[in-house]
Amino acid sequence: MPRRQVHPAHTLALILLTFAIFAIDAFTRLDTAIAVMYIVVLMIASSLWPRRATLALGACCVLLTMGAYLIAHGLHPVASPAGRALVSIAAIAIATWLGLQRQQAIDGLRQRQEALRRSQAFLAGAQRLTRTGSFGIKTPGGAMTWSDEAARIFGYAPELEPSMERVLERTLPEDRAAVRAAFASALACQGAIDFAHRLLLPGGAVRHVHVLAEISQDEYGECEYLGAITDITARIEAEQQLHASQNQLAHAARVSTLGELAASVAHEVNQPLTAILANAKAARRWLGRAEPDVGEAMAALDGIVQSSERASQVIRRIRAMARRSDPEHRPIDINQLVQETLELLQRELDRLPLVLRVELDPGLPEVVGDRVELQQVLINLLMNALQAMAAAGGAARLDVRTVRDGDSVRVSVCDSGPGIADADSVRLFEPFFSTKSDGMGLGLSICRSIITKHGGRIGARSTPPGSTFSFELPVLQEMQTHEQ
Amino acid sequence: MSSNPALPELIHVVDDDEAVRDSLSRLLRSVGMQVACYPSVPDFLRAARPDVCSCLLLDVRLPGASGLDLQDQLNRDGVSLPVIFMTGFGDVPMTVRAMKGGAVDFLSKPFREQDLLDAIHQALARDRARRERGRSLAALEARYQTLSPRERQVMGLAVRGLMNKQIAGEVGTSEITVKIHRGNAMRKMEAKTFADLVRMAEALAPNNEA
Repeated sequence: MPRRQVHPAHTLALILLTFAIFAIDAFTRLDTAIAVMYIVVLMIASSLWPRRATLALGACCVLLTMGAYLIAHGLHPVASPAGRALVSIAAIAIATWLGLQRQQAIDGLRQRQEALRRSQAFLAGAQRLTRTGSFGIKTPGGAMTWSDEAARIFGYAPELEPSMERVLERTLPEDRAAVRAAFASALACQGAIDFAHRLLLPGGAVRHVHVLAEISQDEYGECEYLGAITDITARIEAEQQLHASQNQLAHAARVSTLGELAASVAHEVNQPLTAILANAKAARRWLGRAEPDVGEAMAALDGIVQSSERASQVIRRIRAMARRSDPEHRPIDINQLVQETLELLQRELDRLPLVLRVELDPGLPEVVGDRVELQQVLINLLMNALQAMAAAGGAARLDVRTVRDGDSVRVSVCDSGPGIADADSVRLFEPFFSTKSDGMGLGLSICRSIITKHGGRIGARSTPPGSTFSFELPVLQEMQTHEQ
Repeated sequence: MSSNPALPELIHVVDDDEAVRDSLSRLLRSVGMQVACYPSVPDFLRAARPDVCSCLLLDVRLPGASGLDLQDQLNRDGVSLPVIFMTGFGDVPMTVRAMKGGAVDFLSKPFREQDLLDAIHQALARDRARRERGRSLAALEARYQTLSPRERQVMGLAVRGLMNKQIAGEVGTSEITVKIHRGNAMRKMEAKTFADLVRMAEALAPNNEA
């Protein structure tokens, strides 16, 4: 119960008033029920004093009324004054009771007010902590309301009246069309709203927000949206940082793979260079003869052109692997990628007495992905297979297959190595798990993060003799609809 | 020079890369050499090799059997064809193995034309010397075959430094007869001096013992 502050000045004034009424009642010969004036004192007291004090004052007033009667008339009952005194006492009692009732009602109201204030403070605090503001949109007019936190997210002062124009003003220009469309669908009362967009604040800061709103009916039966807008900038930035570090890790792994492939890479570059040099010298000699042989010289020049193209292609591929830019998702012909990768690894494949079988599904649809990253996965799986088979010795067999499986494309690499121990199969794709003595245990975990990022799956199973690693990627959607 | 100067030297090129094969062939032909190209070791082994002054330009890494394997096999089979290795990415153990196997040179791709031609000339000189040696020995052998058993016997004893009298005692004939046999041997072997005859006997010695 809220405590009432008893003000000394009020108390003194009330006591003085009480005694003034008593003095008039007791010592004047006015033929009226002066004691009824105590009611005024009681009414004032009931709004200022606590319950008990009011009750005590009521009792005092009754006693004072009786006292005044005794002083004025003694113990002899005098018909008219006694009647007045009794009426006064009754009135005082009723006024006290009413005063107490009123006090109770006011206290209840104050309590509810306090509860409401606290609840609002909680809500505002929770909104501030969770960076979530609430808002409402009424249809058909589009009148908006929003919480202080919602105003803060948009970078406005809380007193400012919310409006669609203000929302759009703070929306990143690229996202304005989407926000307008969402607002239009809300005005047409078409289903719940759930979308994310970006804000551009006056300082130039970009903020990511997530807007969720549901339809409810207002008191007039009109459709109304109640929603929440959450500032998800921190989460998005953390996700972006995670992606960036994943990309960096994948890049580092690619560069280290390039190091492992140094012999192959050097060979790939030096072959065309050798041909270019030899052709150039040959052309000079054929032309420098006493009877120049233009035909041979032309053939040599053609050879130079072809080898130069080949060399630049090799360099392009290697640069793509070593590049550090963000992944680019484009339609990819997986069969072509498999063939190119096998070419790149040709020298590594030649190291083993190996039977290589390549089965490429000719009707394979395209997938969307980053070419370099997917090639990295392929290189990783192929190199693992080769290393496993080299360690095992004996006859080596490598099957590389691509096949369409429903809405996905599956690529599998099957080796005749020592296979996978059951205990290892679960942890194979975990970071820092390696069965190789000099392995870092990052290759397959990076493969998994790349494939997962492409919306696919990667897995391994024992296929005695040896093991099969395969990954699936979803088929490019346009292709699907085109085919249907 | 070669006894058959009309035939140019033949260079065998074994490399799995067509562009490299073609360019090397074009370059070597431009300096007047004959070139035979093979994409793999089995292709080289299958092909007939004409009996002319030649050498082998061999890539180390080849699909299937490597260049080093081919060198081992040629050494085992007693084929003394000078080998020049080429590689796109050589390491020390590879080079050591090649040189121990008797390689003339080990060229890292891409190589300078001059280095290649120098190596080829060196290899051809080696082959030519071997062939020359082989050829003169064969001629000597042929001449030796025309000697009668008695003449061979006398020649053998004479080059060991025995006097005619001692030889006569050894063989059981007269000193005059020994003189005649010795003169016949000198004439048939085309030795101008006795010292020539001694050198010829030395050259023939390992063959006769074998």
